Amino acid sequence: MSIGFEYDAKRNRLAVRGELTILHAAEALAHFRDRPGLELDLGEVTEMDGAGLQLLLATERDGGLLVFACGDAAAEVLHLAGRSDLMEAIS
Amino acid sequence: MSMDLSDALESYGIESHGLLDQMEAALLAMEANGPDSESINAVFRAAHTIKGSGGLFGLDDVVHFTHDAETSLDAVRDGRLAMDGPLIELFLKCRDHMGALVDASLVGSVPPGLLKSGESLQERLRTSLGQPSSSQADPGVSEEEIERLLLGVGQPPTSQDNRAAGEAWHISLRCGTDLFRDGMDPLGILRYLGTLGELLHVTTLADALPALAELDAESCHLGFEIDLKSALNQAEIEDAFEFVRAFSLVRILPPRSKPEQWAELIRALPEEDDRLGEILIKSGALTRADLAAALGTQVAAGDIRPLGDILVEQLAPREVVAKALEKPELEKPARDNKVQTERHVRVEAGKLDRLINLVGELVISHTVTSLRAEGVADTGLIEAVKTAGRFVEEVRDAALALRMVPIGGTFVRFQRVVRDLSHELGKRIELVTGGSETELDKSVVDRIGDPLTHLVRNAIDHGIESVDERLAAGKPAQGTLRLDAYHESGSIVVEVIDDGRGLNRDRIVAKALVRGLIESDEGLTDQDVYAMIFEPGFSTMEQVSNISGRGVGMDVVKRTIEDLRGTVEVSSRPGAGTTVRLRLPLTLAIIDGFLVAAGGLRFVIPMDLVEECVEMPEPGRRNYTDLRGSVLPYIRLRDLFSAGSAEPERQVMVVVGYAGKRAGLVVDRLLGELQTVIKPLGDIFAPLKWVGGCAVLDIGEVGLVLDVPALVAKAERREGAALRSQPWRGGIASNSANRGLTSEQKNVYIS
Repeated sequence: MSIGFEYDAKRNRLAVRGELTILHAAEALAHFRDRPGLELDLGEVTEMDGAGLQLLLATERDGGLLVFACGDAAAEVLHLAGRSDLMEAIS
Repeated sequence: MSMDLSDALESYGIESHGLLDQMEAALLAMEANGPDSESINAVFRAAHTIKGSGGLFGLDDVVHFTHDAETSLDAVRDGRLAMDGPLIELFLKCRDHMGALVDASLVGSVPPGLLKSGESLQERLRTSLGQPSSSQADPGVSEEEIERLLLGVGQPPTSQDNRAAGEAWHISLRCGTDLFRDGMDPLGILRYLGTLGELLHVTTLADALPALAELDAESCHLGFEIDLKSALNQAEIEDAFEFVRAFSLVRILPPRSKPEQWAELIRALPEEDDRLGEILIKSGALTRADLAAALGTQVAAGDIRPLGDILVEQLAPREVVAKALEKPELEKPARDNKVQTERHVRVEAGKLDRLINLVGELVISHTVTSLRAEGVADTGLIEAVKTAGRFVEEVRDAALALRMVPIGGTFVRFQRVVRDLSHELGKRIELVTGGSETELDKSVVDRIGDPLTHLVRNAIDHGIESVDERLAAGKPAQGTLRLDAYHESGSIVVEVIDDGRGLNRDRIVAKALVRGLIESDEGLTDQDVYAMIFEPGFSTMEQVSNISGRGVGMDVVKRTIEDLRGTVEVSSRPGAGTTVRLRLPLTLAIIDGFLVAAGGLRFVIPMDLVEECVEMPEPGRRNYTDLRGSVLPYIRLRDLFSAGSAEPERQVMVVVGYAGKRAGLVVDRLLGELQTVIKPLGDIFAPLKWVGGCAVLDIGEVGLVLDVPALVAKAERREGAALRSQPWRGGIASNSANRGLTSEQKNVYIS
């Protein structure tokens, strides 16, 4: 049960690995804050819950957000929540 | 950071087991009386709720298995599958499996072995579905048509019906901020709704989210607008929100709701009307024309209801609900049930214990106050203290009543035990229960479950004979096991009665000789002999079965009951059956007492056990006297506690009764009634067998609470011994006859 982050300051890109869930929400929040226009790599997110979704939505509303890679777990959540549009940037 | 999910999960576990118990009761009822729609519905609802709430907590194994059971149950409900004996058996197994899955999921992961056995059950469920019964739905009706009928869309379409999601349920959910902290996930609800039907559209609302800088990532601020196409009824959809509705806003609109209802919904939700309107139009729930109609209506203006309620009754027009339901009349009892359960508040046991303890302290301090007040010649004060005393008494009773639960819940569990054991042993046994509504302290109920199980198993295994044996003995083929409960003078009596072969005196004696418990059975009454089955390591069955007969159990039964300040009695008649009687105190700590003085000491006698007070009559020979023509043994408290002071001229006898026996306690003075809390005495007082505890009477002063059962037994024994050594044997017979007991029925006292 863990989460990992890798931030590429040059591109304002944050890669999240592992569990983007309530267990790590507070930790994740610190990485999402104060980074307007953040680009997110959710490709290696293994689990995501409502708290994770909430983080994404809050980030999107505050400073904009671009999901440029998305794994199955995150995709299922975004689809379920009716926010498949967040994944539009993925080519 | 740590998340404590245990509370919510624990309550899920308790809730699930409650539902599983209901499911079991319904299945057993159908096995006995044939299937009926109410029971089928109860089983379905239980499975349904366990699945739904399980999904909410992400217990996938529970959801996965329960889903298959629910599918089969649905077929039963639709009449496509007959609820016959083998299917009931299968569902009972499924029920047990669900319980095991829930338990395993709550503590961690489900062991592979359990999953494997679940798979074989699922296979059997699928097989049973593959062979539909003859009562299946008319094959001329297609699936879609059934669905249309269920959804109530069979009516000719009206002009309003060309909207996209018009036939769907619309659900609005605004999560409570503590949802995540309680271990729940709104996405779990969405996924579960997805299994109930088709999620046409979900809009996730971030409107209530604070700015990122202020966001507490563990608070939930999400909202959802959901359009769900489902054939289920309102109650079943509501069940998905079982665990969140207390702190979240949940609104459910049935398909084809009227503009007024939409208007009310929009007003009830926290977002701006326009914003919501756009969301509803975008999701296809409403057309622009509908919205205009809805917002244009004036109904419900000013009628702002508290958020957090589900105003299903108001929102759902009766006819819509009725159409959506296949058998609306079936749902009624279940819904009523639901309303009832919602009136209960689940309270942590520790809080209740604390309340009871505090009430105990209150009772003590009030006793001290009132004893002091009596020493002051102030009538106003005495009056005031008396008034306070009345309320203290009421508070005490109310507090104790909080912990009182009917014993029926414990009895019901034995239906299954009896059924399974009798199947296993090839016996035919019916369980009859009486006095299920008898209430006793929760802590007592919790602790007598195991002893009762031992006794029931023993009765089935050793007591009740096989069918052949019974018929040969001229008895009905079906044996009867009776569980009875009733109140009797401050005690609750629980009886386990079987009509089996009875205890075998010779065999018990032989065994006791082998074990060295006795040297010979000379002079031992039947009751003395029967009492030996409660000795540690005693078992008479030549062949140890896997049900009982390992010789562990009966002694544990006795010990457990005695730990609760209760007693165990056994009576038996060869060939006619055995009765084991457990006698337990009603409450554990607080009692109404009767204060007496003897030899400078003060004693408290539990009021419930006091029968009368009489002037000390002429002493008879030894320690018995004649009370209105019957023999009454008595004990002088002065002698018992070696009181030093001189004996007063006049003494009083308090007649106490316990378990059908009576004895007199001779005291110096009566001091009146009081409420008191029994406090345990330290181990140093353990040799004082006749004292059950102490009670604080005044600051620094205590009274000894007499253990009346022990005293009565002592008086009885002394009388018996005295009479046996005297040429007075006739006395016993007349004595027993006075109490209306034959020697066979007379219960032996185990102490």
